Amino acid sequence: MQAPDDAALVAAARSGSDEAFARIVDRYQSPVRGFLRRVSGNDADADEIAQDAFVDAWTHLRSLRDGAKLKSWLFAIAWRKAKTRARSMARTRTRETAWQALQPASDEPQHEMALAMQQALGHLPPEQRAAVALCLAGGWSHSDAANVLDLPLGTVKSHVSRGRTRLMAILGVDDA
Amino acid sequence: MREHDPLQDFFRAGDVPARDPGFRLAVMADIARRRFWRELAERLGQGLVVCLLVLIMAPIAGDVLETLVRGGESRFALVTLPLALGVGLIGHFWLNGRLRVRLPNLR
Repeated sequence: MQAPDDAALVAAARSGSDEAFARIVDRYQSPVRGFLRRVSGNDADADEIAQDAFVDAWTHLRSLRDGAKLKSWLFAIAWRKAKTRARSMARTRTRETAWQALQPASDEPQHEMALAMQQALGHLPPEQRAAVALCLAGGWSHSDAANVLDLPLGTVKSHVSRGRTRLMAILGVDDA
Repeated sequence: MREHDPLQDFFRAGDVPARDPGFRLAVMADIARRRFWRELAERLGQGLVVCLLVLIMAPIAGDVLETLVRGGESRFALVTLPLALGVGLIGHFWLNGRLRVRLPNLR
């Protein structure tokens, strides 16, 4: 059986179906949380913001005019929430970094790579980080990312290009 | 064209699992909590309106009851008017399909 598309799920959720909304959460929790983790640099904060973003989406579902644009609408909510909470996140991040420093280092190379990327992203300005997270990690087009981040297309292109060069330099990766 | 983007390995290492029932549960529990408080607030609001209406209407209703108990010239009108209003409302809802009467099947 074919899975219902976003517009159908949005319509069902609007008419009060919790099951439809749970399927929306299932479908987009991974990319939204991944994006927020890259943007915030703190997994716990990112998951909390993601949860808030989904609850906010449920509250304002009626304001979404085109159900097919659900994905970018969700990401836009998540990005706005991340920006709003940036200050308090910075405080929590300090605590989290101190806590993480006490944890034994993982032997898994995957974990080390993720940590290295997290630290490298931390060197980028927030908007550049968000553009990189969407376009390079999430595979978004520049124009879609510009809509989500509410930035001009040229700015997003320049953020992605500069961010990429900077990440390569920080991670010591050859641009072969 | 580049075959393999070296940054992708780093990004992929930090990917979140595609399905996380715990996260979905947390979101849905939060939604249920919000819905509960919203409905509670709505019911409280409605209750408050009803209380206010009762407070406003109490003196008038008292006068009407007193007239009915004592009797008098207006007694007939005071009984007939609410009855007519009630019948009219029932008729209105019945015609609009909002009121359905299930009659027993006599066949």
